[in-house]
Amino acid sequence: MPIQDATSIYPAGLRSAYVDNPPDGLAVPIRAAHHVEILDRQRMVYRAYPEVQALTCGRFDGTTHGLFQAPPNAEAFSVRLVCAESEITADTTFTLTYNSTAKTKKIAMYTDQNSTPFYQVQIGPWQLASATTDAPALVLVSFAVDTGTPRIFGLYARFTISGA
Amino acid sequence: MTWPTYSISAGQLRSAYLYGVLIDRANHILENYTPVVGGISPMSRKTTNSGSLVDYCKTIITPIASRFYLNIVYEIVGGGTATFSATYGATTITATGSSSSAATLSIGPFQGSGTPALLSVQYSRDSGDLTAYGALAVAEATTHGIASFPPHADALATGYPITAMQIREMMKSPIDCIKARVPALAWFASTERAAANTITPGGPIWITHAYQITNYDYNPSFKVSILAPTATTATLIGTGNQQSISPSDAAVIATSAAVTGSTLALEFSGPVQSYSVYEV
Repeated sequence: MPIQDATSIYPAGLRSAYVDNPPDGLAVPIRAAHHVEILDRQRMVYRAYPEVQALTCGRFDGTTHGLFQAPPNAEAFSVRLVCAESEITADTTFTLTYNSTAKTKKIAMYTDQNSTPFYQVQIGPWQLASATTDAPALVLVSFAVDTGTPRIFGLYARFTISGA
Repeated sequence: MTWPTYSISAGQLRSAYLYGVLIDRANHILENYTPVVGGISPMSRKTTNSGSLVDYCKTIITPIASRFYLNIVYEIVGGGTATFSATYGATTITATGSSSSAATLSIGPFQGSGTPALLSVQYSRDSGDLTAYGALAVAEATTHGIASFPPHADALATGYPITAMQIREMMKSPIDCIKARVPALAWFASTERAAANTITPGGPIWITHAYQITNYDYNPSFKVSILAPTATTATLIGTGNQQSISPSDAAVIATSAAVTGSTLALEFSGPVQSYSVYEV
């Protein structure tokens, strides 16, 4: 939207109302559309938060952690875990724990294999512990595996955002 | 925060009302829009008994132009004190913590350089077992991060009526806010102790629906900055094009911009120490 100069932005439809009923304080000759657009752009800043946060990990000795930041207005999240197929040598159960709530996913050797050299495991969702969804919050997820020490190539946290 | 819709009537066209709405929201954004601009997660594989500062890891911070903090989640079991030291550019800040349960230690502020740059972290403990779960570099929460966001009410009050320039500033300021606090869409930092150690990420790394495109970005484009051996090539693949880069030395280096409106993928030909993906 092109922004007009200070004289022409005086709202024609509201000018008479302003002239007829001058406000007590300082008047603002700003179009309602401009006002709305400013508010919309402010809202966009919140929308600029990534809904997915991707981490890449190395090889870990059985237990590790992922640290994410929940964006404002986040309600819940789930985690996608990517590991090497070649390093899953038996039926393997992955456990992710958030806020003392553990969730597990078992990979059955062979039957869950696909055409890529990676396993992808989706675990969750968890409701965020904090009732305050206005500000961002740190989210710590611990990870454990019952068989072997497969490399964890990536942890992806996807947050569910309420209307902002 | 809820975003109520206001109907504008003549009776509401008063400075205090409009400025109040705009400034309250602007302050709220600056206090809460604190995107991750880099991170180390996980930070340690095991608990450590180190009694001296160890050059533990380096992570790339996005081209943030505002101040930021490093928030470290840690615990030290068995009593004692942990010391964390973070270095960004010429600035080194040290902090100590002694929590026996998982807690956040904030180190900073660091002044963002506006270009991709390294943040290195060292730590030690005097006794007990220290576990550092992870660290996120996060833009500072402030109501004074960007001078022009928005024009201050007192300044505007003397400028009655509001000028077109002030309106332009208010419309532009949210964009400035995003550009001054560039979020990292994906990040990684080596958890090895020796600076030369690296890992080979599995790939490709797909970043799908990771970023809701702001509707004033007609051709959203992204870069990846990496710290890697010279033999490693990083390729950032967008729907419009793809860009590759190989570092010529240990410096942080960035690809040219890859354009995408939806999916973004990242591939490496070899090991990396750290990377960060961000919008430009």
